[in-house]
Amino acid sequence: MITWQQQWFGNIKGDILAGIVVGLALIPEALAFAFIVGVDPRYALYASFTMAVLTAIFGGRPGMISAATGAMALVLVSLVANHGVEYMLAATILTGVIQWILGVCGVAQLMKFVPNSVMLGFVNALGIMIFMSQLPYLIGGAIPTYMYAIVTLLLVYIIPRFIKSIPAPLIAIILMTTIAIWSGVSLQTIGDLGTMPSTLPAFLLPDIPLTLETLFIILPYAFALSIVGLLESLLTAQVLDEMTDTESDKNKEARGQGIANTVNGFFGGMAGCALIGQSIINVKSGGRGRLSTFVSGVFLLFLILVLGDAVARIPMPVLVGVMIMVSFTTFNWGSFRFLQRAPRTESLVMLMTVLIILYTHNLAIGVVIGVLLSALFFVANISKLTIERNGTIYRIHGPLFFASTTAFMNEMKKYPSDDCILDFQDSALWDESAASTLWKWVTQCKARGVQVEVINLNERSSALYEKWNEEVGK
Amino acid sequence: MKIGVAMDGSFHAERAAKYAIDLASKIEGARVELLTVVTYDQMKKEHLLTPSHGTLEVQRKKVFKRAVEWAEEANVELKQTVLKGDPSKMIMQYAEAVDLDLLVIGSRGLNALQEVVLGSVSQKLVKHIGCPVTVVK
Repeated sequence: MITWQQQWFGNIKGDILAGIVVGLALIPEALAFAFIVGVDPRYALYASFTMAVLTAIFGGRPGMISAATGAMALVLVSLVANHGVEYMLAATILTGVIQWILGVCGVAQLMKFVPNSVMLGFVNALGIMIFMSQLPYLIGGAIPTYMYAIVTLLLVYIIPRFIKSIPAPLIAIILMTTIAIWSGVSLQTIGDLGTMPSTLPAFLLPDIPLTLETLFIILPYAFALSIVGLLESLLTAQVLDEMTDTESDKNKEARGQGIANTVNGFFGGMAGCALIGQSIINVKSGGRGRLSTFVSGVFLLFLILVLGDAVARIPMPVLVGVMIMVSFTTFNWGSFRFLQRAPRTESLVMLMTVLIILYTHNLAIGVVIGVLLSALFFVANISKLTIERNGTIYRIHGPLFFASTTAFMNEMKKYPSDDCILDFQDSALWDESAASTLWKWVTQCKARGVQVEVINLNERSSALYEKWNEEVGK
Repeated sequence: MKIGVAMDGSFHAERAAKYAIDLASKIEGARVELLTVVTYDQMKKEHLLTPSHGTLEVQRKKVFKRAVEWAEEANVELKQTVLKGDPSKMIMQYAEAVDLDLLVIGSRGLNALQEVVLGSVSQKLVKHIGCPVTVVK
C-alpha cells in the first residue's frame, strides 16, 4: 500500500510540472462550462480551484483531476435559468452532502449495475450536447467567427504531431488570441460575456429562503448532480487505475467528491466532478500523486488572478473551437464498431440511453432508464428455460425464477401426464415464485394420480423448496 | 542476447518480428522480447468498449499472435510485454531497464494518417534509443 506521504511527495517534480500544465489547460474548459450554465466565469474558476484542492486532500484516486465540468454544467442549466445562481450554489452544497452519504454507504459497489452500454450512451450523449452548446456562438456569426473557430480546431489537431509536452488547446489559444489582437479583428471575447474574478473565493451562505419549497426545488437537481458526478468520477478513476497500474478506493473518492462539492458550494463554485481529459493530460505530463491535483487548482487560481485581463481577451470563436474538440474527444468513436459487434440488446441500451438523454436534456434520467432497460434485458435473457425429455426423466435447462415460471409451466404442459422425474441438475430454484410453481405442479400431478419426483436440487434450491413445503403444509 | 521487437499490429511490425525471430534462431541463447504499447488515449477509448479487464489483456496481446506462432516453429524463446503510455518513451525505458541488446522495428506503422498526426515512433526510436536498432523495410 502506498503511504500518505508517498501519495503526496512520491513524485514531486513530475507532480508540480504536471499540475502547472493542467492548471493552464483547465482555464479554457472552465470558462466554456460557465457559459454553458449561463453564469459568470468566476463560478467555474472558483469551482475548479476548490474541487481540485479538496479532492487532492480527501479524494481516493491520486492523480485524478476534478474541477468544473461539462456534465455538471449541463445539469445546472435549467436550475440557473429558472431560479438563479444562488439556488445553484445551494444545490451544489446539497450535492456534496448526498455524495458524501453515498460514499459512506458504499455506493461504489453500485457501479457494477451500470453496464458499459449505458456509460457509452452517457459519454456519447454528453459529447453531442457539448457540441450543440457551442453552436449558438457560431450561428449568425460573421466570417471571421467561423474562420477563427475552424483554424483553432485545425490547430488543436495538428499541433500534437509536433509538440507533445504542452497541450495543444493552450498553444492554439495563445496563438489565435495573439493573432486576433494583433490583426484588430472584431470578435466577441470572453470579457464581453463575463468578468474575471479578482479576489480569492470567499465563504458565502447562498441567498435562498430556507424553506421546504426551496428544498424541493434543489433536491432533484442535487440528486441528478450526485449521480452524474459520481458516475463520471468513478469511471474516470477506473481508467486512471488502469493507466497507472494502481488501485484506488472508490468509496473514498465518492466521499472526497462530497466534501469537495459541499465546500465548493459555500465558496461560490458550481458543482464539479472528475474530468477524464484533464486527468489524462496530468498523467501524460508526469503527474501521479495528490500534489499534482493540488498544484493544478492553486496554479489555476493564481493564473486567473494574475492574468485575468489577458484571459478576458480570448475571442469566443477560439474557445468554441477548443470546445468542439472537447466534444469530439468526449464522444467515443469506437461506438460505431461497438454497435456492429455487441449483442443487440447492448446496442439497443446504448442507443436508447443516448436518445433519452438528448430528448429529456437530462443526463441522470437517461442513465437511470438505461440501467433499468439493461436489467430488464438481462432478466429476459436469462429467463430462457427449456425442458429436455429423456424417457421419464425431464431435465430442466435454465434457471427457475419469477420470470421463467410461465415458461416452465408451458413446457411441462406439452408433455403427457405420466409418472416422471424432474431433474434440476442444470437448473436451480432462485426465489419463492420458483418454489411455489414447482410445488403447485407437483401437487396438481398428485391430485391426478401422477407421481413426480424432484431430483438434483442444489443445496440452496432444496432449502427453498423444503421451506415452502413446510409453510404450505401448515 | 535479448532482441526486442516493437509491434503495433501493422504489417511492417510483423515483418520486423519475423526478422527478429529468424535472427534469434541463429544465435545461441538468444531470446526475443515482443513489445507493444497502449497509449493513454487508447485506454480511455477501450475502457468502455470491452466487457472486462481480462478481455482487454487478451485483446492487446493479439498483436503478438503470428510472432508467437513463428517463434514456436523456430524454437525461439519468447517474452510478451504490454507497456502503457507514450510508445517511443515506454519502449526506450523498457530497453534500458532490461538492457536490450538490439531493437528491431518496422519502418512504418499502421497508416499514413496516423504517422502524420502522431509522428513516427520508428524515427524517434532510431534517433534516441541507446541500443543498436535494426529497421526492417
